[in-house]
Amino acid sequence: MVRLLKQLFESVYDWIDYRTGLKALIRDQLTDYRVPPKLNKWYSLGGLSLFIFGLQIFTGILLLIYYIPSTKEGFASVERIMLDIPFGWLIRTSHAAGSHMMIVVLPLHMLSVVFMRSYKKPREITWLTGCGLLFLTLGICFTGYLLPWSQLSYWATTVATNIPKPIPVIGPYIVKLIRGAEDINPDTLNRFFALHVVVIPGLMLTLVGVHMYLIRVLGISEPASRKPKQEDN
Amino acid sequence: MSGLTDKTSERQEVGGKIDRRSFLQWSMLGLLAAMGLAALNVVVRFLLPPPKEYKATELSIPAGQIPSGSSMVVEYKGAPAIVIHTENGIAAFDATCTHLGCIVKWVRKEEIFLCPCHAGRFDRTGKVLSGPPPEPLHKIKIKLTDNNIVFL
Repeated sequence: MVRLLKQLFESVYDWIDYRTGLKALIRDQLTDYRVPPKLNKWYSLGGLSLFIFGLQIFTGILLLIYYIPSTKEGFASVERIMLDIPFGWLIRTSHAAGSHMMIVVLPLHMLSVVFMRSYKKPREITWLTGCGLLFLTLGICFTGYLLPWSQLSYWATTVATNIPKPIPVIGPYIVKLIRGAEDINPDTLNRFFALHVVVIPGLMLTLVGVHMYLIRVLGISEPASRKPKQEDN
Repeated sequence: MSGLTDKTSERQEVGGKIDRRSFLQWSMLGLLAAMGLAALNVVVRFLLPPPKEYKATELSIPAGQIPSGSSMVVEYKGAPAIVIHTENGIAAFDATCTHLGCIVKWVRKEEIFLCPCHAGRFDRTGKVLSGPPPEPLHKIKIKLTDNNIVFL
């Protein structure tokens, strides 16, 4: 039985491989991919943030099934997720905890890159896409915070959207642009919802793709101290 | 246990059945599968609609709610039922069309049930008049007591 399944799997796998070159891809990028020796925990932070990003997308899609983006029903739908839907509390608190973890992990990841000078040539674009991802992460946290439409999220968004106001001349217009009106209103909730669920995740996925492509093209930046010192000899 | 120190015999079959490496690989796979199933349980339970509580008590509605000529849709045993009041008296049917399961509506003027999906038409006894339905509407037995319509 096991042998039969194995044969079936292998014949299907061969069929796909012949048409896509999947085996070579898996061999080069996964099973035979060798990372530089003696990398420490700091080098796992990028992978960790990717894992959390995947988790956020997964739990986010599940929340999207029951959440209603409206000032009338938004809070009630979040209450329903927390109290009525089986494991809704787990999905929503995972989504919130994941966003907090992201804010912890990303600066640590960036600090390790700064301290190890890994942003230097030829890795400048990797660094810049990473910076873009940091700002997008802050943006997705900010827009997601309003969605439960609770007292906390309403006033936090009021305070945060007031920040650009003191900018001379254009400040008040920026505030109006973010809010869609003078005050936080139903339109603000819906534009934040669109940003949180479609616009920012789409941009992030694109940048994550570029970031990871560059990491594989350029290789992991090795700690300078571990490189063989040929000049010294 | 000399095999532990001897590297060449490390992958030899122990006890003639399974070697150490494949035992560990299968254990790992089993552990991952168990974790995956636990996570799948969460997702499936999250997506399934919360269980509905059916009332064990019998359904009865005041007859005054359905004056002559009118109709009413009620929930009966978790499915929609339709009650009509014609000159033949009060009758109740399973409102689910026998064709593909849409909900029929009562057309008062023509005294027919019309299915909005594929224009199946039934007369006031549930018999098919035209359209694709393969069998008549399912009748629900009711009893008139005092001023109530009691579903049996």
